[in-house]
Amino acid sequence: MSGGLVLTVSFLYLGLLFAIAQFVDSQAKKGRHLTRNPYIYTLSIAVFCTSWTFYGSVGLAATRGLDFLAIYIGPTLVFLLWSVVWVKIVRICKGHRITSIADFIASRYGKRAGLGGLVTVIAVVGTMPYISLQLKSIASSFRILVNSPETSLLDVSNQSILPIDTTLVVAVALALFSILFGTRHIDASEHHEGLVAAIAFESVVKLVTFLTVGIFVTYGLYNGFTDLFAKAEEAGLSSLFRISGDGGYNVWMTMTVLSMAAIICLPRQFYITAVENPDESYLRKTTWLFPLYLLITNIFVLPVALAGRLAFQGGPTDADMFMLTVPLVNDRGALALLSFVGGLSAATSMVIVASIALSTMVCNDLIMPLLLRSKWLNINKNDDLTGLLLTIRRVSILLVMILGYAYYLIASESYSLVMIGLVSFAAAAQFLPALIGGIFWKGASYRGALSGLALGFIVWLYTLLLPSFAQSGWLPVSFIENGPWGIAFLKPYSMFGMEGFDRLTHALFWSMLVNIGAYWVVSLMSQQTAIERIQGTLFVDVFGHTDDDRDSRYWRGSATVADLQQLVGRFVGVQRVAQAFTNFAAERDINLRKGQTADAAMLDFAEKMLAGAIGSATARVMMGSVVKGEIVGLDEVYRILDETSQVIEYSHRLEQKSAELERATGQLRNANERLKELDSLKDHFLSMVSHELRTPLTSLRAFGEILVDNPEVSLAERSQFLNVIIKESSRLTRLIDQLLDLARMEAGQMDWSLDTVDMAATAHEAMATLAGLLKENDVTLTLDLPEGLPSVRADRDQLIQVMINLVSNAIKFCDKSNGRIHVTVAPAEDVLTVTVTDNGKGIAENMAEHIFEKFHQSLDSSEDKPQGSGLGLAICREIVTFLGGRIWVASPKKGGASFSFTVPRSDRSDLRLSAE
Amino acid sequence: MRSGRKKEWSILLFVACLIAFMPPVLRIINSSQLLFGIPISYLSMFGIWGAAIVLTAIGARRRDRTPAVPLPAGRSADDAQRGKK
Repeated sequence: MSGGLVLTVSFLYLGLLFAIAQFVDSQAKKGRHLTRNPYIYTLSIAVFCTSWTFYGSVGLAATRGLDFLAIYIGPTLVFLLWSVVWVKIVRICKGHRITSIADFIASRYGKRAGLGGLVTVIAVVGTMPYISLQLKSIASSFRILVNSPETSLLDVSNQSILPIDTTLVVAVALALFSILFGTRHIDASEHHEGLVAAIAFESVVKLVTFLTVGIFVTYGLYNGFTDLFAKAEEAGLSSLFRISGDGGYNVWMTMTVLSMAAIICLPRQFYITAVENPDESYLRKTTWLFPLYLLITNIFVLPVALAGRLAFQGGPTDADMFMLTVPLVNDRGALALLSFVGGLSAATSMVIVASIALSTMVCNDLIMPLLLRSKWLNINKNDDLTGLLLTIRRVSILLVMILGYAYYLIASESYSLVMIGLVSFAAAAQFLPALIGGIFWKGASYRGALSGLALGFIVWLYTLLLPSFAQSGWLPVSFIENGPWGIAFLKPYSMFGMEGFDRLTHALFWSMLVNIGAYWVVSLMSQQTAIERIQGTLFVDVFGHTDDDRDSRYWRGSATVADLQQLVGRFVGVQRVAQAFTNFAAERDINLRKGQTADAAMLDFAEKMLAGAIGSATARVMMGSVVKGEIVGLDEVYRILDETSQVIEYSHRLEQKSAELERATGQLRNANERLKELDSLKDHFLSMVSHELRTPLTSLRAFGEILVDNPEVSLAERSQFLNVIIKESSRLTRLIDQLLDLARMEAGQMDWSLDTVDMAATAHEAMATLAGLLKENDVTLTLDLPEGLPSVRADRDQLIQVMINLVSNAIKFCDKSNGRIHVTVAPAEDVLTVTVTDNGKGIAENMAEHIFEKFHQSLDSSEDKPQGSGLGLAICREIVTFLGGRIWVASPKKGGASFSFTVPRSDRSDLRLSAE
Repeated sequence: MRSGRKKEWSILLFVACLIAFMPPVLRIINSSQLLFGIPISYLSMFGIWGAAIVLTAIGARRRDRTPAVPLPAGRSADDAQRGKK
């Protein structure tokens, strides 16, 4: 096959990718989001399947049987736990505008640049072998395709087709492609829809091509699975049908654990799953779609591997390339080309996403903090830095790719594809303790994470990376065989004499031991700062805090809106920031003025926006340069975040509420009792009133009937009867009048004629009216009127009514045989006090309050029925109160009752016209 | 805070798969003998894997009757909130 054809196909394919990305991006600008669905999201996560899956799995299956499955069962296990792990991580990323795994870890442990930088270094060094793996696979597949026919199949020469090394060309091409792809926008936390679409497309391509080759091998070369397995068994390959569990399944378990860690911690997986996630709810489908994708991909791995082994029986061959060589050896050039495109798509998707994720990390967590520290940026304080950011990212992509190429040159020949990949996985696994611990353990501290990561990374370097250099001859081989300087217990593949394990298990054990150990112990021994404490709580309790903005604000200083806008604008672009601030103000319904001091919510918003562009650690430093003042102290943090205090406050509020409730209940109970009382009073009154009404009515009717039935009644008797009728009807009228008066007074419809009234004259007139009654009952009345009484302001008729009521009451209740009533009028400061005292049996203490209420009768068991309607005193009280005085009753020691009331004096100018 | 059956279900599945894919049980299913012409290990590995996927899909189904509005934070927010950011 000509190199030109293969190159043309490759570039056409890359061009197609670019066209897809452009198309989707342009649609997104118009508001049509083509990638916003769980299927595209799942396919983008399938970036996990790289050329390692495409070529390496087959290679591994051809030598170790089903071992390769561990790499896919591990991620499946993690996705089973989606609701525990992924939902939490995605929620946190959205809430804090996390841009990468370095940003995530740095943000969790107090937004310190040191930790982000360390994570970035580990990620870059750890991904280096992985990228070299992709370069290696592209380069070898290219060579195989071009060097066919058969002669060169078995022994692939390194002779280059192009004037320079093919792999370097591939590396540079991929770097340029990634730069064009990934660094068009500055805000890294924004969704790159074009990128996601292209990656999803690549996932489809690699799946379809793999299935095509698999089906061709299984059903084209053989008659299905059973035939293939039977032939392989005949050829003595049945050991490949199973997991090579000879070492007690160490390798299997190690690979499972590593791949579980990798699906979360590989920078590109974290980026595409958590940062590029458009909607949390997509996880619901992805959680089973992604494992399904892995399952389908792997169905034909073993058949292709077996077919390869059968085809190249005995001959030395690179099992990693069976995907190409099996079709080629059967003269299926087109199929091999298709397979090459599948491998190319697998490799490019990984390289693109990884380099974009890494470049973001390098820029935000490594370069920017260093630039800030060097004070270089402060000189040009007002420059627009968006261009600088983009440049840094582009250079980082190139750098990452060159590092990958360098590793390829140095070490990649010493390991198989799978082994190279696993070395990378082991590096990524170092993030796992800090990441998982960070979202489940509030107490994990910055120092713990830093020391765990550093130690784990050092052990990884020593036990996996350096030996690969040694194997390639860049370090003396004695380094592996005898240990450094001949110290046997430091041999990198058997530290402290730990023999009998494969390199990977050995490295994983030691690195995880020191990593988790240091993370745990140091966390327990070190103090958390305020921000660590806040971030820890925000991360661990993310579901509790999502809707509660209050808790994420820890800035206490002040900065103006203009300052903030300018700061964020330098990194994100002035226009976009202006737009964002306007939206923010509109959402919260506030009016932003330039000189206004930004509140906590505003500061938080600005910081998160900044974090989206330059990472949380750098963003915090930048914010610190603008915000004057401190961040909140530890005490306040505890106050804000501590669950205990929240609970206490809550229960305090609960107590208050219950006290209020109790009070209300008490009031209700009182009101209820009062109602019952009034009800019984009303019943009593009704029965009494009806009785009162019936008595005169009965006598009226009786006398009327007598007069009608007996026309011969004498004139004297007749007139006597008629007098009774008149008396009874006038009594009836009085009763009804009283009722009406009271009703009118209570309703405020009484016609009052307030005037200046001479008290002495009024008293005399009242007594005159009562003279008949007094005489009839044989009661002596003494009137004590001092000379020169001042006049009062009152309604004269009503005043007389009050006195009549009181005196007639006194007549009713005074001593029957020797009745005496004493009326006095005494001037006081503002009022005149009128007192009516009788010598009756008096009024019980407990009745003094109630006696003025209407319908209330001074009941006495010794009497048949109460006298009067029970309205007299109630009317008195209404009148006196209206006139601005008060009325009360006292029980003098010598017996009897003493009713007093006051009337305002008219000569006092400050008349209390309370009723008006 | 995210509680409810969904979480328990996924942890149960995780543990079950862990048991199935780890040595003691793995020793039983890791056999190169052919069953219907296909190795037992191959069949059982993909079988368990597929079953796990189906069970996860069942566990992750959105229940239609759950309210569309987010529940108050701190409660079992397991369905409704996921749709909201």
